[in-house]
Amino acid sequence: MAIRAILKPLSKRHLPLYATSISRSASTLVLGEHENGLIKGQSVSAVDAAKCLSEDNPVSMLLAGSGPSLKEAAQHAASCHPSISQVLVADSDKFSYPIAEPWAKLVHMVQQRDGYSHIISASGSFGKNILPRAAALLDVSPITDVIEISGSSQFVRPIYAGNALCTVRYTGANPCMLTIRSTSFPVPPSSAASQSNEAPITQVDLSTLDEDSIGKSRYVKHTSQDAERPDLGSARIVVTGGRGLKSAENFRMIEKLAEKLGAAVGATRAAVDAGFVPNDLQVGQTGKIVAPELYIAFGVSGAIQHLAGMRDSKVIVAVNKDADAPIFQVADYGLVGDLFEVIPELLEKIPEKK
Amino acid sequence: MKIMVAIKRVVDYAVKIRVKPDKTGVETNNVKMSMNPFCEIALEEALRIKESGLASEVVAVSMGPSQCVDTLRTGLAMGADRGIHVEATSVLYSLTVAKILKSLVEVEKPGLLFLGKQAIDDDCNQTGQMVAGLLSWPQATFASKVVLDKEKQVATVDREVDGGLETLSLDLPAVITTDLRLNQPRYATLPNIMKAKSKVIKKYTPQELNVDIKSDLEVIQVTEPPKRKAGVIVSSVDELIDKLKNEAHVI
Repeated sequence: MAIRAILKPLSKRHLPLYATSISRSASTLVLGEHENGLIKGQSVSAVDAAKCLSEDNPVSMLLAGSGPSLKEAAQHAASCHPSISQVLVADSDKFSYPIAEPWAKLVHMVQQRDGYSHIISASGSFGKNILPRAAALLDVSPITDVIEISGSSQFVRPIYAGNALCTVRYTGANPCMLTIRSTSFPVPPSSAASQSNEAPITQVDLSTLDEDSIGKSRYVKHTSQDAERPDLGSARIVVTGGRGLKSAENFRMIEKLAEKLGAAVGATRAAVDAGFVPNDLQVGQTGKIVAPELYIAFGVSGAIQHLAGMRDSKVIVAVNKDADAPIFQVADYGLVGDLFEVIPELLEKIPEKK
Repeated sequence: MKIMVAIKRVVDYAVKIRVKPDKTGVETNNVKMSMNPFCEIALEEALRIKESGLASEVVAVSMGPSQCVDTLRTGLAMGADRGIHVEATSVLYSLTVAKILKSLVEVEKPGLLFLGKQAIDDDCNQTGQMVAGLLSWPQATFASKVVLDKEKQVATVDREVDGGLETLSLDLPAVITTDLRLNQPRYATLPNIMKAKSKVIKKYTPQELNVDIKSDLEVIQVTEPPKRKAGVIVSSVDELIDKLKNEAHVI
């Protein structure tokens, strides 16, 4: 019951629920990422993944940050997924920005007190930065980019840019630490909306946070890319351009088409390197992994590294002049033609989005 | 200041890999192997820092079977001053690699440790973060720009994060992992390849570095991903729109 003393309850109710949850065999801590007071969709996917570990698995979501937006995020976390049984909140200036050093210490501290069997985060840049560091502090091997969970210690993950699937078993001590590919654990939008139960929110006592190594790195600034269109990682439709677009100006055609379809814009490495678009639009092994309902590739040859980022899309359309381009081997619908003729025609003929 | 760079020997990025029929792994016999592309970028960055007078020595480190020496020679031909090879025949997982690197850092005392952000074979994206954690050093992962201030002993790093770029400032010593955009690695010239042959590669075993190579991970099987069923080639934009609307129901 030491935890009771350590974690100051923010809301007085529900504490017994928490006290019983820790005695179970499976219990999961999800590292929650939040922005503007909302839990990011991919963190909700991580909760969904936690559900696959075992049926009886209380899930705690750990949030860190500072100020009112953290408070809002905690409220959102409490009701964003029915499987969340408690929300842990670390409120401190040290967590104003998601820096790996304090976050890893926090995870280490919370784990030492609560003894979770699993710790999960989504494998975005946040999770990939923090979780392995925390795993090293806990002396366990983390497992990256899990796409399938078969039981509490067996996982499937892609290797070699998605050209092979590796089934691994974790045989070490608790906690088993994973980052999950959120496109493999989609959360139906309805489950987020119709929530009645609210998980209790508990403040984490940070007085014993080991501060060695915190403060050796400082946040300077964040330059965000224009994000008027839907987020690439979670868009229903993605329109991608490759080297075949030839210039940044021509890339506007892709943007126009995306606008018409309500789609996100993606790019290949060639298009990014040529300076057509900023690099956070890159889809592939080293960029974003997407799995939309519809993926339309214009002037994309289909290199292994690019396919790694989009091969799980439901419907793939390729438009390319070169009939032998490898992209046609994965495309459900291929059109051999000049994209400079095809895109304007599509723009004209595609029905307006509802 | 000394810079240490960890480099990995992997199946060349352009090779179409084959899964072994017995599902134990991916065929690596008689397959072209190269330096992991992200490691090349890490090494290139270290070399550029040295060439700008901000570092005195670049030490390249690799671990694995004896052929890793070839990868180290490539690194030496690019311009690294000397190499360290930690010979191990069994599979090394990130945690072990991080522990070996930590031991080497304690021996060599570099001011910066560069790694690639991920190896293109296991796609783990863990080692840099783990060694930084073990050393209690600050980390900057997915770096696309590194600026060193020698006076203040600070590295300012632009990181490629979801939704844009983030800038961090790190006290040295620090760990930096490199993204693809950081630089364009150089090619080794023939004279440099010849010169590299006389550079020193020191050998260690994990035991000598007091690292136990047992692992808490076990590979059950490696399989091919499900194949996509063959698609159709349409002849016109009209047909394409029709298929998307009435067959796939996606627009």
